[in-house]
Amino acid sequence: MHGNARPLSLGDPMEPFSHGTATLHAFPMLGRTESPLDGWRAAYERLQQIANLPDGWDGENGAAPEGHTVIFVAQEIASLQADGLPAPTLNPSADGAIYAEWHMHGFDIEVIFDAPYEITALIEDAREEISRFEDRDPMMEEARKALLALAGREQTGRPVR
Amino acid sequence: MNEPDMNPELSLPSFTRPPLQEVAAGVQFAPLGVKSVDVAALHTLLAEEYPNWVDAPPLPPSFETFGTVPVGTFPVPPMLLSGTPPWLPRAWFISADDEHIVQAQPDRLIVNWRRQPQGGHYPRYAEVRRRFRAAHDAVERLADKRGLSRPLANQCDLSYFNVVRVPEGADWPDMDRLLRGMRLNPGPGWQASLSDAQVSIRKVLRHERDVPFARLSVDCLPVLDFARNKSWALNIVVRGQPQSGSFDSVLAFLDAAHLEIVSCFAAITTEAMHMEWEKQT
Repeated sequence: MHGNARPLSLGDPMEPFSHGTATLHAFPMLGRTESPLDGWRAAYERLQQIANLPDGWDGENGAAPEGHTVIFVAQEIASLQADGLPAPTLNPSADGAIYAEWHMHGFDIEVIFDAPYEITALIEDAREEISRFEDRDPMMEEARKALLALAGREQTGRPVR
Repeated sequence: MNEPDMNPELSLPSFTRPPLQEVAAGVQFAPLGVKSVDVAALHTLLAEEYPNWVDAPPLPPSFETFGTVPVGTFPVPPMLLSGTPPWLPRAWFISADDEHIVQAQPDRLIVNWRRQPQGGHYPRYAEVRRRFRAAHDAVERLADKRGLSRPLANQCDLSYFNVVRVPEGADWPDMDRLLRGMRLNPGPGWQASLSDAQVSIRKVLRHERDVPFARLSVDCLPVLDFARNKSWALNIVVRGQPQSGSFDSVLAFLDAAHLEIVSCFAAITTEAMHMEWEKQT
């Protein structure tokens, strides 16, 4: 289903962040040197922007994401935030899917949300401490494991490849 | 499992006078492309059992997730819904005796039983299930007639709302009178004259392969009953993803949730309360 449907950049300026921020303060700070709130704030802004996309948003036949998919992504990333994990970069895809990506600390993690619980995870670790994974991950169990490892590297401050 | 002949009540704890105030069985599905005229057509199909109709605000979509820290029901920022078409109201089709309700909106179907202030008899899970099935059949018939796709479930929930009057000589903080072992026993140096207390318990339910699919939530909190007596609300809810989008999977989910809720209720409540509720098995 993902074939040619790679995520595309919206390229538009972010709209003002206007919804409640209570959840942004509901997770432990983990002693980071820079606030993770900025990353989460950007992620929610981005999701809001994606939620408002019309059909044909890419100038061609790009499908607007389904409302249930957007809400599901919102709830999944709220869960990641509550677990103190780093914020993803979010992008829409022309087939209506939403991509969440993390490219840091030697990890390349992509989580593709096609619909609620229809999730594919692509995980690569340049250090090969986490096995490569590319398959369905409906409850995000594999993605969470990799993100925990990523967060661990972030905390220990090991050199980044 | 098209027509299960099992009795889901068999071998489960049973009470002659359970403290139930409300039971709700619900399913959320990919939105159907219905219009307000279709809601009227659905009421026509259900009007014999539910002659009355009122509108309520629609419920936002909600999904259970399974991180380490439960986030509960994440409040959906209204902005995230702004790109979707205007939502129809949530229709409440209500039975003549006011005890049974079918709630319908383009992505949700819920069947409720509720106790009336003057009392009433809980008709048991099998009857709630029968009504849920009948309401879902009506939605499917309507979808077929309108040429719409049938409901494809992505979330289910079963909720039991109990109200238990605080016993004579006890107060809201004395939850150990209702829940086993829930007694605050502070050490010396602090006078624990509490005004009230609340308890929340969560349990993730897993498939045989250890994959999470649902969460059971128990909340006990202080409330006043219909007669304004101090009482505890004991709410037990199972919410999660059915194994597939089919209606058979929805029913299987609800049956498993029923088993979990009734077992939990009997296990966490005290023997004294069981006597009051006349436990049978």
